[in-house]
Amino acid sequence: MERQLQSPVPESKNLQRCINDLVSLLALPAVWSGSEPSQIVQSLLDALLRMLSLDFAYARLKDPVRTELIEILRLDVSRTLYMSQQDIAGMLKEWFRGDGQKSFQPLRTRLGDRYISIFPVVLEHQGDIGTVLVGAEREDFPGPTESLLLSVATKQASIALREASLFFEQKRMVDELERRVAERTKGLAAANEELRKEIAERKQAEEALRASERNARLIVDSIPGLVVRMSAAGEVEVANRQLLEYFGRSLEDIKNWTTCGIVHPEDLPRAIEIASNSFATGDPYEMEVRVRRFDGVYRWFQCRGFPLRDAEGRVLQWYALHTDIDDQKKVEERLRAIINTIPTAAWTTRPDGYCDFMNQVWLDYAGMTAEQAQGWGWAEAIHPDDREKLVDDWQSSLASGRPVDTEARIRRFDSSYRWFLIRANPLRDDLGNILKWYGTNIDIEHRKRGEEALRTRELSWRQIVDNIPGLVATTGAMGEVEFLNSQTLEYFGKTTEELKNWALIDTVHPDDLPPVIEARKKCIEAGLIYDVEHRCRRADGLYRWFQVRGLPVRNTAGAITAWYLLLTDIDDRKKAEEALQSNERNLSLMINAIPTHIHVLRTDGSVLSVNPMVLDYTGITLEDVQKEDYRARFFHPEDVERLREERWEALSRPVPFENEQRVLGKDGRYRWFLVRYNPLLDEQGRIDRWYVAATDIEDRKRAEAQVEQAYLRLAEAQRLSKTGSFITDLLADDHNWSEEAFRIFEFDPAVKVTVQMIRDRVHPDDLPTFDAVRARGMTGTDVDFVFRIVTTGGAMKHIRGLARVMAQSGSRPLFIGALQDITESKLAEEALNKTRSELAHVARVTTLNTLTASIAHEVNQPLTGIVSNASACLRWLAGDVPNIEEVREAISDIVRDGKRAGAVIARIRALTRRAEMSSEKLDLNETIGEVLAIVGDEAKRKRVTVRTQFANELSLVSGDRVQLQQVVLNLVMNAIEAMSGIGERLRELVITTWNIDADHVQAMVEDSGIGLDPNTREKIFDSFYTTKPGGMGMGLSICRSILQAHGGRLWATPKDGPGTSFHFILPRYHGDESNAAGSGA
Amino acid sequence: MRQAREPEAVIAIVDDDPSVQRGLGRLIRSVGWKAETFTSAQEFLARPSTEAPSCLVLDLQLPGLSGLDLQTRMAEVGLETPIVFLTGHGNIPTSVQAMKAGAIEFLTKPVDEKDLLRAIQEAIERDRRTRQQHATMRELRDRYESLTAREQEVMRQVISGLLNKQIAVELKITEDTVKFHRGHIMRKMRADSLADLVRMAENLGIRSRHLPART
Repeated sequence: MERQLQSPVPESKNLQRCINDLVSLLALPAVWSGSEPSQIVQSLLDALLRMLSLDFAYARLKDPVRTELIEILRLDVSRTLYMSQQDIAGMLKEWFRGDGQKSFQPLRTRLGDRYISIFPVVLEHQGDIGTVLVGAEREDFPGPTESLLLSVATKQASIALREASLFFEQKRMVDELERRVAERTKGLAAANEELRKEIAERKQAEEALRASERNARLIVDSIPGLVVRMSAAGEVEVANRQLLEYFGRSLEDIKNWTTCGIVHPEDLPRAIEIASNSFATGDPYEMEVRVRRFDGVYRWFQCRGFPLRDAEGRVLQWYALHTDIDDQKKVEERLRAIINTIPTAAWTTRPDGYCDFMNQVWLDYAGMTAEQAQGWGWAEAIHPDDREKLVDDWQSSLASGRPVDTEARIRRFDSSYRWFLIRANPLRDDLGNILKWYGTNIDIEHRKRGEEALRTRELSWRQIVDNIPGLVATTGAMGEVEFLNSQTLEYFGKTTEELKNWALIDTVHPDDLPPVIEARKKCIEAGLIYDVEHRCRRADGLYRWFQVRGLPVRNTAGAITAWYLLLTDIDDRKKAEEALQSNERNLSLMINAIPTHIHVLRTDGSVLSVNPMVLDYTGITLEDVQKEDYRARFFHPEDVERLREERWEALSRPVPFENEQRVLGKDGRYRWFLVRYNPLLDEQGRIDRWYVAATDIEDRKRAEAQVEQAYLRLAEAQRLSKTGSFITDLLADDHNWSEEAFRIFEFDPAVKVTVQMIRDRVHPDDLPTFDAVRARGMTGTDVDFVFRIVTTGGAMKHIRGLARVMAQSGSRPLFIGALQDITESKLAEEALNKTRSELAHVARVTTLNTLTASIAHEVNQPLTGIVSNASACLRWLAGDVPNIEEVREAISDIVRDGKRAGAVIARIRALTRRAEMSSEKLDLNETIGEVLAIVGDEAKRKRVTVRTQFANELSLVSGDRVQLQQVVLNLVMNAIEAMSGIGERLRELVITTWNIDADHVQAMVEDSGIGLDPNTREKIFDSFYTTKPGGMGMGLSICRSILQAHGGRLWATPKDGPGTSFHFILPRYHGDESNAAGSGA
Repeated sequence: MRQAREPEAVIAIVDDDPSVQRGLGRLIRSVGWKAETFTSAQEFLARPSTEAPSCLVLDLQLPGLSGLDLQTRMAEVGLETPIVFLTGHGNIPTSVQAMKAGAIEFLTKPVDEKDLLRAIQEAIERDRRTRQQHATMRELRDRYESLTAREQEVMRQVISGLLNKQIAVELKITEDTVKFHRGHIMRKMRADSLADLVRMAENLGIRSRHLPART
């Protein structure tokens, strides 16, 4: 509005500026070309800030290139000094937190201490990119031109952002492509290089191959070994130059090497054997033989032959290499000579254990030749018992390369055996491969003998120990079992090994084990002599008592090195001790336990000793008992006084006597005791001691007193309870009455009672009942009876009684019975009944009071009809042509409505009537229906829908119409009230009736109300219990008593859904037969 | 009273009690009105949509929707039938609520014949007045609708009290043209005077134009 009224000049200026701004905005894309999105947004915001004089400009967008969130806030510093950048940012964040869609409206909001107009613009181009928020303090912001500028600017920016995104996407793709091309090129170059290398290598390999071929010949010819090639059969086919030169023979000459004399005759047979063996099996061979040089000198050669096979594995040729080992052999010979001279048996073997050398000492000892001992022959000389072990040890050392260190007996040339320590070490090459084993055997016979002797000595000591008639054990310093003699093992029936765990295997009686362990631990720690008695388990499972004594053995430094333990069977002694102890114990137990007080008195009557019962009873010590005032203090003064003379006299005579005295107990009460005195006489027949036994006879005394009182009490009880008892022989008319029975009938107790006397007293109305009971009694059956009597004074009494057949007196039954004057309770009952119906009446009237409005309505409805109809009649009759037909109809309606009003009033009057309970034949459906007619309006007002589900063939019930209606009324009113608080739910009251069985009718009143608390479901039937603010708490309690009086019952159950169901059951009307009023006899 | 009644006045009675229904129905018919009876509010609302009755005699305690509920419901749907409430036992808060909501009368059963008939009569008269008002308004609106857009615009200027000259400036037309439009407006609106036209505009809820600031 304001803008519209501005003068044209500033308006045109404005427009000019707007156009300028537009032009600069359109120029922006040129600036943005190639820029990053954040730069674009930044310059956009700056442009807007400047052009529109904004307070702030804010953008929030997804970076289209990097897909991260860009948030930029630009402030006009000169304007927004009043607020920090953080605060604005916080506010804007808040703006974004809400539903973005809804918030895209211009907004005037408080920012700091000012109001600011915020205008959101969406950055979008083929989809949402982000949002720009611009804010200015001006109230009319943004004006039309500003909106235009904003929209153009954001459009431009959107396009630029999109372009930037495309541009960067493109750039990224180009980069990616270049990277891939570079990668691929690099891969190709590498592959090329590989190929070149491979070719070079192959060339080299070929070169090498060619060279090696050339070399092979050279090597064969130049190696300092003699090489031949033989046929598969062993015929020499090719020999190298060295070989021919060495032997000084032609190839032809040595074709058959076995016969050409180059092998030393001594070695020939062996050589032939080895070689032909290999030729036959195809295995390589190796042997050392002497061969003759061209000059006739024999030198040792090592000859090795290898087969050359074809693809099928057939041997084609043999290559053999012969190496001069003569010098080496010579050294060996010398070494052997040294070895042979040392005074120790020595030997060497090949890596596989094949013995290739035994020195002379060995051979001499064993009386074997080198040949006999060679290989495995030496084993013959090992003692058969040791042989297997030795061979095993040897084999395992060969396999593992560990040095041998074992002992074995070796047979001497004279067939005696001596113990040797056999040791061997492997000789290894630089690579660790075993070349040879060197071993020595050292005679250790003397040491062995020593050991043996020691063992023998030990054995003999052991025999001694084993023969000690006790169990002996030794343990280490810490108690670990080391030795047990044979008796010990025998006793326990266990091995030494087992007994090392003696504490775990039930050797010591479980009861004794903890103290035994404790004692051992203590002794071992302190170095004390150990002496404990405990039970040990014999092999047969029997425990016997042992005395176990342990002595520590100390070394010279005083430290304990071992323990010697001697276990002595003391079971018999222990048993005897125990038996003795148990006898004593039994005796003292007996004395202590018998419930008799024992005193030992001196001749003067003073106390020498008492048993614990006395002390326990009196609660004093023996010292107190022995004091002079004991008797005065603890015996009843009356008894002390009464018996003083008598007791003195009796104590002076050596004859037993007894009396009864009261003794004071520690509870402060006297109890009666029968005290028996017995004199202990010495040889002269003089009294030495008195043994006095006192027995508690309090209970007996009390029982006596009780019996005495019992009769008195019974009479009193009969009087109080107004119950008389009697024993009657009806047929003989013989009656034995108690005092109270006489009193009830107001008979003179001196007079003998007869049936006629009783009958005269009986109320005339009850005579038939009385006679019937008497007749039944005469047949000998138990009877119960109720009748009234009228006393001579004219008072009426209600008598209730029973008589039971006690015995048969001859053929006549003898009754025992009781009769009670129940007049008072009868009167009370009647009063109670009266009060109850009074109360019911009050409750009824109270309920009706609350229904006044409803009742008034029930009456008003027909009255309204009557009045309206009557008025209408008057009009019609007053007309020119009276409408007789309408008048007739109206009047018949008036009659009907009048009757209806009368019925309502009659029902109310019935309910308010104060009447005693009566019984009539009732249709329960009808009875309920009448109640509903009264409460109909109340239900309507409380928005309650009433529904009935009445059984069609409902049996009739007998009862008091008013009282039953009161029950129904109460339940219905409760139901309506229970639903008054509920909101949405349907308020529905359903009354259902049905025949539950042949004899009963049930009714159910259901509501959809608040329901009952399960805890109070039963309480609601209690008097004065109420959940209603103004309730008396009598309604349901009265209802229940009404139903009980009808022989029915009333209860409540929760419903499946919301609400409560009240149920009541009434007995069916049975006609006259159920009229039980007269069957009181 | 007889002479005052409209021959086609229809009285609706809503009461769930048959005695009351029949009695009241008969009484109303005896006066010469037509009576329609319904046993519940729902039944009344569901009646065939003929002409609305002139008066509704409504029992307060109805099963389901109560009398007051029905009154509220009717106000919601714009049914302006005047209501005479009947109740078995009126209480003050309820009657105040009913009266505030526009009920004619609140009568207690058994209702006095004179009271009831007077109340019904009043209802009928109020109903007739309402109907007349509605008819007048409809007529007025028809007349206003018959004006052209330009005439309506000129009318707005006229009732604002602007002189023909001012209107001419405002609408950038000649003064003669304004006079021409003005004559048409007065004729079409059947207005006797400018005051008459202003009243009509007021009834139609047409606001005079916001006056621009004068220099």
